[in-house]
Amino acid sequence: MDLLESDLINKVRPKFKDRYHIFEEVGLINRSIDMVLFDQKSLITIEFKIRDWRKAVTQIKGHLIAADYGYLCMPHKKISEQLEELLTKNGIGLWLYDIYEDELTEAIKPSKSCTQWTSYRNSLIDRLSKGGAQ
Amino acid sequence: MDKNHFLRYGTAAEQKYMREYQHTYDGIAINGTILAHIPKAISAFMHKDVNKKFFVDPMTHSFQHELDKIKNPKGEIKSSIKKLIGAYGEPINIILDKNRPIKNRDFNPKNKSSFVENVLLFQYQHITSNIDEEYRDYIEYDPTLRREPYFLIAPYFYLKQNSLNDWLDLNIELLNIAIDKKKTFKDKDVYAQMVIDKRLLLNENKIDDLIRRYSIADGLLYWIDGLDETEANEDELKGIRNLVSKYTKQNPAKCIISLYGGYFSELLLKDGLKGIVHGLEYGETRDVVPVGGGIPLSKYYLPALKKRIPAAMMLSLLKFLKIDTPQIFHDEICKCKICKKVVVSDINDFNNFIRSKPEPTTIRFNSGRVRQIYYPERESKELCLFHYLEIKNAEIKGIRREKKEDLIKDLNKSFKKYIKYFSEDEIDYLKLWAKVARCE
Repeated sequence: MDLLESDLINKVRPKFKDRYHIFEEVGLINRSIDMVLFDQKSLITIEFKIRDWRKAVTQIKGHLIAADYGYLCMPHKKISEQLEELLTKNGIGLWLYDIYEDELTEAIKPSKSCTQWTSYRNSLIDRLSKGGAQ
Repeated sequence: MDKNHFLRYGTAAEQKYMREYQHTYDGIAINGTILAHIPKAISAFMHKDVNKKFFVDPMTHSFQHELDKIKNPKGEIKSSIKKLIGAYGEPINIILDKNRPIKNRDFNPKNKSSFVENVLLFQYQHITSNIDEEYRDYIEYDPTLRREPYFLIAPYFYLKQNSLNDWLDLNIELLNIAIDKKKTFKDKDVYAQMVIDKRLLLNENKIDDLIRRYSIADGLLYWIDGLDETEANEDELKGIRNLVSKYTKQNPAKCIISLYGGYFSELLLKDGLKGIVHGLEYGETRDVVPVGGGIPLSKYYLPALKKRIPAAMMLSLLKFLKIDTPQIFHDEICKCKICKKVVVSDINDFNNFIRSKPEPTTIRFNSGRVRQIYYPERESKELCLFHYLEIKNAEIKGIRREKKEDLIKDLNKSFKKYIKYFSEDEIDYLKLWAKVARCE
């Protein structure tokens, strides 16, 4: 079954709705983040990818200037050693979504961002609190 | 070493930057399509604003591709291409008359000669013939004010691995005719332009043959379709180096110029390359068939990596490397005059390079995905551009000044420093460039 990134987002969104405020297409400098989760304590970003995870890792490293934690979310599959190594090296978490079981699994736990700029975190929270994307 | 660092003219809006940053480059490359589109603006710019040598790429390959590649969103042939067709005449006008791309069989002895003459004439006089009347009077009074190209380029067509023979013989014939017509154009040098599929680089016999056949010209410009030096493999990089060093060996007095290249091409200045061309922050790689202009995002050219880095990643990198004062920034990242002017009191000043507009623009990608993009503020874009131009100038001066071994050592040093942050496949081109440049 061919899954689009937008399908993946639609499937995963309900999994977070009880725990977090969810924001989508949130601007950060000149890119937009697929999804931001906020619960007054933690600021979490998720980048959804069906393929080309290398590009996503680059984007998530950028998110971590504002976010506390960053995740990549992909359809459920066996992940390569290379991907695992890259995510771990950069402290990025991994969500895997099983379309047949409708199940979301945290395959890799993220580390707290060590490249965060307080000014970008505060400004992002401020914008989210006001309901704006940018 | 010759001073042949060319900037590619992109748009009229970029003229002011080319004027202001004249100290960072030696000459200007102008594509025939943009010259046909805004001849008066370019003519005024070249005569009055800058005193630089230039050449005009006649862009004749544009006519051999499927027509959708040269049509605007309304499905009409782009007006700049139409104007170029008007200037070049037969047999190119077949595109408009028969609504199909040009084929090699459309050329016959009569139209070959007139086509070559028109293509050379366009390069030779289109800039001067479009100057305003008042300035034309000055030129009549003082003919040295007339701007003529540094050299002329024979008409050329793209050489693809699987259709090489369809076009190569024609290219060489057109080149021969152009050389015969030199006298009409005050004996200006006639260069060949070789635009090739990157797969051809891997075929040494083919490259040898191409060098031999193109060596009849006074010089050679080359463009490897879509080759991005930061993503190329070892064989492709060796192929480019092989092309340059063999051409130079066989034609020591002639000039070979890379039309689209980055730092690896600059390094080839040590192996006989005589000139490089790039655009204002872009144009270090280019596909033959236009794929659109791309989205102008804020990126900062990181001198150590010889690459533009996205804004958020640059901020992340600064934090990772603990670059938290202007002094450390200048010591570790860049001390060009733009960076010294921008990052002054606090590391937060770096944000001046990467500010974006408050309102997003909605972009629909070919995949169907719709995304919000925040375009950079004009001031930030300009700062990134000025920094890029200063650094490109410094790189080329450095290559002219430094020993090759030292340049190679610097690449390996950068790799070791930045591998702590980047993944191997993001920056392994540094090691690869060093390895290929080192080969004797």
